[in-house]
Amino acid sequence: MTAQVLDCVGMGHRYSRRGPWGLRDCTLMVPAGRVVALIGPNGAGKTTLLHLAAGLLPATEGSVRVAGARPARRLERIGFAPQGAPLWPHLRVRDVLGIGAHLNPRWDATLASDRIAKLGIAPRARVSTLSGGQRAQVALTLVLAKRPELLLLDEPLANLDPIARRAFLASMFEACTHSGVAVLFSSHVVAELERICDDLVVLADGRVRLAGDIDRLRRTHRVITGPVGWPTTTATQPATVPNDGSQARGWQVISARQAAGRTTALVRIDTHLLAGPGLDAAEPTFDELVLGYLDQHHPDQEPSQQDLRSQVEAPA
Amino acid sequence: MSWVIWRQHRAQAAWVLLLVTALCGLMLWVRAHATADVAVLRAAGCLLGDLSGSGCQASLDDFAVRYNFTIPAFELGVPLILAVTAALVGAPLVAREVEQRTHLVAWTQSVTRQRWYRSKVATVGAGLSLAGLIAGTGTYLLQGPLSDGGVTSSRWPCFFSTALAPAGSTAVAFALAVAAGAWLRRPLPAVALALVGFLALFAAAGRTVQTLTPVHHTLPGDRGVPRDAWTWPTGTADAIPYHPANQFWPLQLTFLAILLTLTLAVLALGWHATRTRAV
Repeated sequence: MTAQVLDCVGMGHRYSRRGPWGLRDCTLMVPAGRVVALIGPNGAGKTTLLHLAAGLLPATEGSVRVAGARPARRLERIGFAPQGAPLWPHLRVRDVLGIGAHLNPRWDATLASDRIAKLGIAPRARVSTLSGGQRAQVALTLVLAKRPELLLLDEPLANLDPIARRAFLASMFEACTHSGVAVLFSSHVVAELERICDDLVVLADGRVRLAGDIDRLRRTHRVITGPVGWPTTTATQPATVPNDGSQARGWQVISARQAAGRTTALVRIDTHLLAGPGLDAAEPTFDELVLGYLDQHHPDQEPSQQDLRSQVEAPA
Repeated sequence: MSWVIWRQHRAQAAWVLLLVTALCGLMLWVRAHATADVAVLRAAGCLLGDLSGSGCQASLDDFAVRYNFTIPAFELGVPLILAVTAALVGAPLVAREVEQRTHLVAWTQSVTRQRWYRSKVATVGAGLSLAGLIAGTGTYLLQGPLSDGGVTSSRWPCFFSTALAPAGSTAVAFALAVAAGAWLRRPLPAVALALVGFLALFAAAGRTVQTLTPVHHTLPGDRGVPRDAWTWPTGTADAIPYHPANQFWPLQLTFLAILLTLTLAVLALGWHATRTRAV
């Protein structure tokens, strides 16, 4: 099947023979035209995943396919914007675009020059004199003018102030909706992503915790608030530790935390849930969904006492 | 790819061109002076093998004193300056990209990392070898009047800095710097490592071409080694090994071949590091 632009099956990467795994057992599909947000704390494996998809790293296990072939054979179809938008500091903007023009057979010179002109960036300016936002825009232009089928953006919003962030997202998705590319982009800024992406992938500790269509994920999850001690003591749940992923009555507690005399849990439901007495159920917001899965305890992982929430919200 | 290489390396190319032009200019200038002085010696009948004139030893000594500086300046200087230049160009080739993280951009264009490495290394390496060849020609031209005037007895003493040798040695220094840069991922330590490696490899290759190639030996009846021969200190007294003058070009070609083989081997190591260690 070549309908998937990006198709990863059991993909993993280990940085050295005995070293830690950067990513394990990642199965992920990105069809054409979808915008997929890749979310996770620092060190979760987001960059590793993007580097694997961009053909920069070999998969230690499993397989990666871009348009049906190894990424290294599909370089002209992949647009990869690395984290921090690195560009050759001593080159001029037009030389950076010249490099793109000379190394890419599908290069769209008009798109590149128009985009740079519209952003008000002087083609003669040296990269070292550009602001962080301008450099990010030049880097994005370099990627867009390549006319890729798969756009991989590693933390495109880092180092941008909120206004530049909004402008960047607008121009990025304006460019993407015209061309219909598949976009996979990583971020740990959660709030701004909900409006712009179709699918969500939550990564933690090198593993995919959650992947799927955002609307559907929100429909199949509930945030339930109950008294302290719930769900361990409540009658609607068997007396089990809430974080062990126990399943009963077609629902599964993903994670729970206690605050202000109440327990709030993220619960996955398979059937329509009627909350028990003393419980409030609501569809989770995007943030609650993401953070709930990042809080999730996994059997193969040390019980993590650190608050992932603070890492998730901290900018790069 | 060639446009990209030119755009990224044209400043370096200009510096290397300037350096080689300056070196060759200096050598040709010294050569012009030496040629004029040799003409005076020749007129006085004082050239080696024809010491018929009077006061010749004083004139030749005077010539030697005046041009002795050329031995450290050019015979040692040319290969060393070229090696340092090649190391400074080669070390950042991969390492600077990795340091600036621009390798992530360079290797995700539509050109594979292998082609990127191959084209860059071949083009820049060929340019540097050409610079070495030009400098080697300069040394070769300079060395003519010096051997006539008795500063050097033949072409042999500057074997490693003349003709084809600088082209090979520059290529080796470049390759070592590229590989060290790819391995260490930092340009400056790579320059140091490359120069240390260069001195070791250069000495080993020199020793190989001098002693491990077929050599002539003096026979018991001979009156010693021929005047134009290449000799080296050895333990035995009876049969002194030497290379006769007509072996100069074959040995130059052998030396170049050894150095270019080393270059390719080291560049292959550099590719291995670029493939496995760089991201």
